[in-house]
Amino acid sequence: MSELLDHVGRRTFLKLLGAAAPAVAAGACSSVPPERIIPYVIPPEDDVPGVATWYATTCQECPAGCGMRVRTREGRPVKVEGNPEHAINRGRLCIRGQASLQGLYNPDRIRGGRRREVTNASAGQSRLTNVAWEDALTSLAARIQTVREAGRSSRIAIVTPLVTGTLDRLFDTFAKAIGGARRIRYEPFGYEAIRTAGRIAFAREAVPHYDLARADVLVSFGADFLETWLSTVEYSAAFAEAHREQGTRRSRFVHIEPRLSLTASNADEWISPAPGTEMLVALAMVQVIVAERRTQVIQDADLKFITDLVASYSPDRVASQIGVPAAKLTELARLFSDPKAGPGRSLAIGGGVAGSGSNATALQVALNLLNYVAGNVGTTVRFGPDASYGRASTYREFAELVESMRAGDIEVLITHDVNPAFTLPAALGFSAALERVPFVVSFSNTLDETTARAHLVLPTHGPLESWGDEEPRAGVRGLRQPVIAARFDSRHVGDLLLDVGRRLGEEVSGALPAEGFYEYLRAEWRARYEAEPPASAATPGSTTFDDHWATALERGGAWNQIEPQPVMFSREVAKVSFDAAVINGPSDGLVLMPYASLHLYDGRGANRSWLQEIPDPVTKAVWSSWAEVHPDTARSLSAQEGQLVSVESPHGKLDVPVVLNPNLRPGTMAIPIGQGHTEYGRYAAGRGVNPITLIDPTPELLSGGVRWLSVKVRVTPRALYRPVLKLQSSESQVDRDIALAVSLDDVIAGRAQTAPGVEHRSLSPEHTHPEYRWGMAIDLDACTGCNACVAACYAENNVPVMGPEAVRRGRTMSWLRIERFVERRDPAATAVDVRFVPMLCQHCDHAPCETVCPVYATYHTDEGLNAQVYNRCVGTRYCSNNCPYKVRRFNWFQSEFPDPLHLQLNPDVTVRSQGVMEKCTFCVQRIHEGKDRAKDEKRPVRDGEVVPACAQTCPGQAIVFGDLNDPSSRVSQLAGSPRAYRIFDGLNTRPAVTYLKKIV
Amino acid sequence: MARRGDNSLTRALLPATLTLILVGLVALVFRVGAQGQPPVPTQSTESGTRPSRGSSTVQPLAFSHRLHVRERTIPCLTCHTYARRGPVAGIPSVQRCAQCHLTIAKDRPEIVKLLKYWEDKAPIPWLRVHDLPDYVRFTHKRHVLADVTCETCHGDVAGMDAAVQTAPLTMGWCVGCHKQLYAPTGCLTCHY
Repeated sequence: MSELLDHVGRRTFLKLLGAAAPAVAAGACSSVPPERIIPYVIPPEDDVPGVATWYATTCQECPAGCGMRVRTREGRPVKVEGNPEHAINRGRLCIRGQASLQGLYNPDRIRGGRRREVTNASAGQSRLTNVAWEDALTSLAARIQTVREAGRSSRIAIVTPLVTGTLDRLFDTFAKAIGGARRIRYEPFGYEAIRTAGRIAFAREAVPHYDLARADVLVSFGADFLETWLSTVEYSAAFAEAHREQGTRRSRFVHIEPRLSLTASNADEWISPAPGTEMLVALAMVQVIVAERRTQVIQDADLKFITDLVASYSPDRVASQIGVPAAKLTELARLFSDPKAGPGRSLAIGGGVAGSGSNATALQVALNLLNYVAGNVGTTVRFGPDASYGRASTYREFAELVESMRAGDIEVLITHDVNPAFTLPAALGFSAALERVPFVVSFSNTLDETTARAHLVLPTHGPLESWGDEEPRAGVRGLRQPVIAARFDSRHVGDLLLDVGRRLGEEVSGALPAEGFYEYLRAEWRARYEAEPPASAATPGSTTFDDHWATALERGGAWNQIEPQPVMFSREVAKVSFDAAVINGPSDGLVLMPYASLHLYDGRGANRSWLQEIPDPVTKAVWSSWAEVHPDTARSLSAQEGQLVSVESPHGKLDVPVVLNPNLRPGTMAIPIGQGHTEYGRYAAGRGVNPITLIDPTPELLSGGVRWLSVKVRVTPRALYRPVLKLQSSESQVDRDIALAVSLDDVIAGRAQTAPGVEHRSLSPEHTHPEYRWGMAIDLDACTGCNACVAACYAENNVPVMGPEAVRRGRTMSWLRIERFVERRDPAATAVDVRFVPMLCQHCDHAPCETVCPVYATYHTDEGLNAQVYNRCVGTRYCSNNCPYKVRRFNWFQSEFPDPLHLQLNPDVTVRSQGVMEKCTFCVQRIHEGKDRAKDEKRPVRDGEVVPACAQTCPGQAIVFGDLNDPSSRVSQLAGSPRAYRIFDGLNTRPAVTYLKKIV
Repeated sequence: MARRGDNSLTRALLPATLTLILVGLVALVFRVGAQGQPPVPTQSTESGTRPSRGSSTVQPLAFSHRLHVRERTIPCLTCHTYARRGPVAGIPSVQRCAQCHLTIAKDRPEIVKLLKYWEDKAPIPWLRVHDLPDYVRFTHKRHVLADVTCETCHGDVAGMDAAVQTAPLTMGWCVGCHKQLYAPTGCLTCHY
């Protein structure tokens, strides 16, 4: 450039500059293409363009069966929310539920039928090619017919997830009609131990309902109910309700697990036992309770029996094996059984994935004993409203099927929405056994590891495109209805079965009389309705089936209260041997704990970009796999943070980078499940490692479940560094007073208040807020750090996903993040003090960002919002530099939404383009909507009428939004709470967000 | 370092090169400044003249507002049904046109064309006349309910055959009215 300027000189340069500008300006104006405006041919009834329509349906991301309400605009779903009426989740939704939209609009969905075509027979090469539906269905029916007519129907196997309700019935009917095909309801996290222990201790093989909301003392033996255990949203909400400060009362939660998981982080006390010894803790507690006569409502004979059974498990005897002081165990037992409180005031739960080993059933039996002696059975442990998990096939049944496949006894394998090639222990040999099956059909809409090996792939509708119902627990029947016409060339799996059935002759089609699955579903509901008309509470105001159906569709299903049924204690317990978990591998190796991931579950979430980009709640890592080890253990291995280590078990080997975690028991290694896909799509394939490849494939003896905790691994550091991408690298607040806490005693004594800071004066005139003044209150005591709000924000506000490379440079765009701080603690103490702080734009009254914007693109509105006007912003980034909360995000790139993900974008929110700043708006589009409605009804906005996406989904109800001008609003009252404080108050920014101190 | 006057060709090409670089730079600034992507990328549209202020438009059908509104005195909201209820006024559905024209004036050439659309169940690809930038959130509902007449923004449509844009629809023009009527004027009213 300097060379050029040498020739030109200043005057010429300016002349040229003058000439250039109009040329550009002219070019910019003339090229706007004409736009077509396309009317409806026949307008849909009750649909107003630009106004949202909501539908109730049921989530299918895990077997919890939460109810959802889906917001659609012009026929496409743009946001899912919890259904406030639903019996399971009461309006809340977890991060996986929020991300279900990315399943519907997944860019890697299969867009039509595929058939395997041999390309080179001698080399055994083949590939999937397109196939027409008619050909595909004909060939499938012909295959089944051949096997059937030869009388070998038992050589057909159907593997589905834990489907419930009508679809389950249809699968069963189909399997029976074709002559008795084998059927597996496969759930990788099946909780077989819980139901087996129910049979052993109470002669009832079921997964009971746990009433966390009622428990004053909750002791969890590795049950990660805030992450993946059974029904996370329901149990998170119930826990938050019990754990909330109510005057002087607040429940106490003790978590027992070798690793400080997200659930453990929210406990009052965390006890870290040797892996696989949780059961001994429970038995020691039982021993103390019976020995000290602290039992409740229990027959003398049973008491005598239990006393004898646990006599040898006194705290003194087992303490050394557990690695926890005996006094601690005694204290815990006394806390758990308070005869003064009456029966049913405590609850013991257990059996998360990471802690399930060879004694998983023994642990559950011990917990049953513990709940029994404390008088909890029938009160906080309720048999009757049993979870559908009790109907899943056990892992052992699947292992037997794999054995049959290997032996060549399976001729046709039909899979639907399951991925055993990824989720089964690799050493079981599923992939090799699959090669022995001559015909594998996959009803699935994603090309996962299993589907990629199929001979015929028939794409099915996603849950949001489907009719269906779900029965997550007795008494709750959620309905599923399509909220969008099928996006791709796919069919409903029920329609496929019915279609195939029709091709198999009268005998089969006679058993499957329905035209399509919708008719089948309706007939099923009608039959049920006619057999026993539901109590009016289930679907109020319905007198005929059509009314009942319409009401159920509108409400999202029908449910009624199932009363707990009494169970009798069974002496079968004596047959259980209470030994610590068997963990095989090198004696000096580390105990491997593969744990279920809050985001990715069993791996099914890995191709959803939100779940990859939102940081893991504990490690804050994104887009990767990692192995957590204790710093002391790492030192003895000579491994450092970010260093790649070879992890070798008796069953497999993998390389993974190390993440140092001081809150993990030394001598163990924890690896999250979910990454390590070789197929499954652009966001998942080739990323991270799959720890399931390392574990022992032998089922647990009593329950037949997977032994997740089964191996020790030899760890060898390699001379390679692959630092894990983390969005927060320090757990320390560095004395900045971001997350404050107070003790319960201080709250009760009225000493929770922070001393008022120095009174600041402002040079500028104060803002006035004549009508509304929007504000938010966030209760750190209710926030569990579950990330649901973050995903809700991504969905509502069109926040782009940047990918790992951009994240590495700190260019994530999230408007809301959860900061995690761990207070320094005495390693011997059990008290937990982990603080999660949802951090978003604070909408300061004295906003540092506003004063530095040279173009007034950010300003304070008269409703107290800190506005960001995208079309004014020129991208100087001064505002971001001046923001002490670091909540402003700059668009370095033009964001991408690969087709069809762009259909998820919320039309009420501008998609920001390259070069502008963006940040939380307090969901201003929802404020507009609320004000619009209020204006229609000629009234002010009601408290609670405007709910931002983050507050809407929060399972713990930690976030409250409203008008600070209204002294009776909930947010005003919380802002005046003794626990209230504002972050960085000393800077005089006067935020509109009030935080409430955590109680520790 | 090249010397001044060393190479006449370089000298001759320099202004052109520099202009190009500057055009590029200014264009970049303009691009950065142009905000507000549409939430859903619109399909690429066919070529044709953009209807603009004061110019008449070649629409797929020679629909006459004058005939319907002035001569037959049909109120605007009869066809633009959503204006009172939502953000967009709505172009009448083909069904709505057909409801009348299956019996009225069936034999006129333009109606024959219209009924062909109806028979084919095909939408009429109208050209948009009034178009706000995508970063503007305008709602008809609040304006209609506040008794702002259609003519205020759309001009004397009753006197036009094909509708044309008569008001500038610029921010200054909007704000002028908002100020006069004490309607909100904060940026967040329309830009978010």
